Amino acid sequence: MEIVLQMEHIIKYFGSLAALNDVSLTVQKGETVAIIGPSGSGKSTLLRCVNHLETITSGHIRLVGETLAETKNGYVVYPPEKEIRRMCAYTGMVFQHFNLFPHLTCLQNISYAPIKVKGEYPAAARKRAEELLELVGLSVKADAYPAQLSGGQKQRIAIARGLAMDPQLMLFDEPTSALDPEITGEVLAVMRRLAEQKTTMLIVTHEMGFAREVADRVIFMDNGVIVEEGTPAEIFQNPKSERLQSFLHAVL
Amino acid sequence: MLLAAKTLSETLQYVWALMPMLLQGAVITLEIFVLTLVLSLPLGLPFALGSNSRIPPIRWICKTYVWIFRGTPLMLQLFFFYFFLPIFTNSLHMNILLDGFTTAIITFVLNYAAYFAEIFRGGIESIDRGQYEASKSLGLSRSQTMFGIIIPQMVKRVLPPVSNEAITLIKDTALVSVISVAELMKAAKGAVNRDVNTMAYLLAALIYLLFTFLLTMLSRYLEKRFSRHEVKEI
Repeated sequence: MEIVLQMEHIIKYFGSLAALNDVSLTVQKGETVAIIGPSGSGKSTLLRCVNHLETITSGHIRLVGETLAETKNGYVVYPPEKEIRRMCAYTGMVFQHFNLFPHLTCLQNISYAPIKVKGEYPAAARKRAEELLELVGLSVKADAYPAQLSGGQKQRIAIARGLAMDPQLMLFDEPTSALDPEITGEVLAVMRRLAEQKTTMLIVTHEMGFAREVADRVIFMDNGVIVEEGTPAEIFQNPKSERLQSFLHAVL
Repeated sequence: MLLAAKTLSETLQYVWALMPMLLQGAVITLEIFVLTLVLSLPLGLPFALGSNSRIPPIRWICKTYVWIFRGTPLMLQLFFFYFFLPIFTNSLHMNILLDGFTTAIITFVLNYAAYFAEIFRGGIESIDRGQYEASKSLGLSRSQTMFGIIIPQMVKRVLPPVSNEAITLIKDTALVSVISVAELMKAAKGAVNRDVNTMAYLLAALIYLLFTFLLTMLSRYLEKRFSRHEVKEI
């Protein structure tokens, strides 16, 4: 199995607060991994360390076999900015608050980075964007601006935008947390389709039903550490730690 | 009560006689206005970006520039460039002699660029962090993010304060009369002193009002145009 992401002994401090305290995680190609846990458990921070939105305090990160961060003599070393940017393009990210570009149409949102970063021809990028719009079921919104969309539609466009760079790994940071309950379904449906197509995904989520149903592996985090990790069946039907038991009791 | 005693036709005749002089002044006012705006708007942007630079000396230079030009009276700056700069450069055996109009343009451009820099900086800082994060996650470089994502959004946000500054600028051009540039204010003053009649001031005020009215219309049109993408579908 090809390893897409390898994180070893990640420590992340915000001031004197340890947001991540010796976290190790590996994601294989084609895997869907869900990270669950209470607010402030460090799950979003872990995700944001993968594509350098946060820098780690100590540890080792390898993306698609290349070293993004390593610790030498107690100091974290990152490559030059250009290298970081190139490596981070191996990942695509979907944010809780969408972060679509409001001054660009949906189609432009999707094709902007492929044209600017990869130097794709506008016509080719446009064609690819149209395919992605179809994948997320929003072909009719190609020329609409983000402000003209519902929350669920915005998030589906954001997913298409992330996919447009052909990432090896898709990162989802609570993609349905800002949505009304009745429209989370349309976003989860798109993500389910991606899982079926064996897109490699790392998903921070509060949707337990979705994690149970779609994830190959579920990680439970609390207080900056991975408390328990296993298949959905192991995590949801047979939780070992008391912390996970009480968490599941509270949310299910 | 001299004015009231005159018949209407006499008044109109007087107004008619004043107009060529005032309109000549108005053209110069307009020239100063347009040149200042066209040159200071683009000059403001590098100073705005420089104020947030990662390189400390660039940051200091930009902040000091803004501090000096916003922190001293515009009239003083006009005097400085008109009277003191030639004296100073003379002592260095350089002969820089600028006429009033050129001095006015240089001073106004430098002064207004400082104001625009602050407006732009505020606009850039008001853009949500998520826009930077999304850009970074897509692999966009810093300059691609700035020029493709951040600045286009900033332009829309700064339109109201920029048009406000533009209206102030129209009125500030009157200051140039102190370095004997024959713009609208100076033309009006000349007529008033010559004829001992304040009619020219009234006409000048009407011309300034016309300019600001047209500017207000233009800025409203631009604001509408730039917020097209925010209008929801009905």
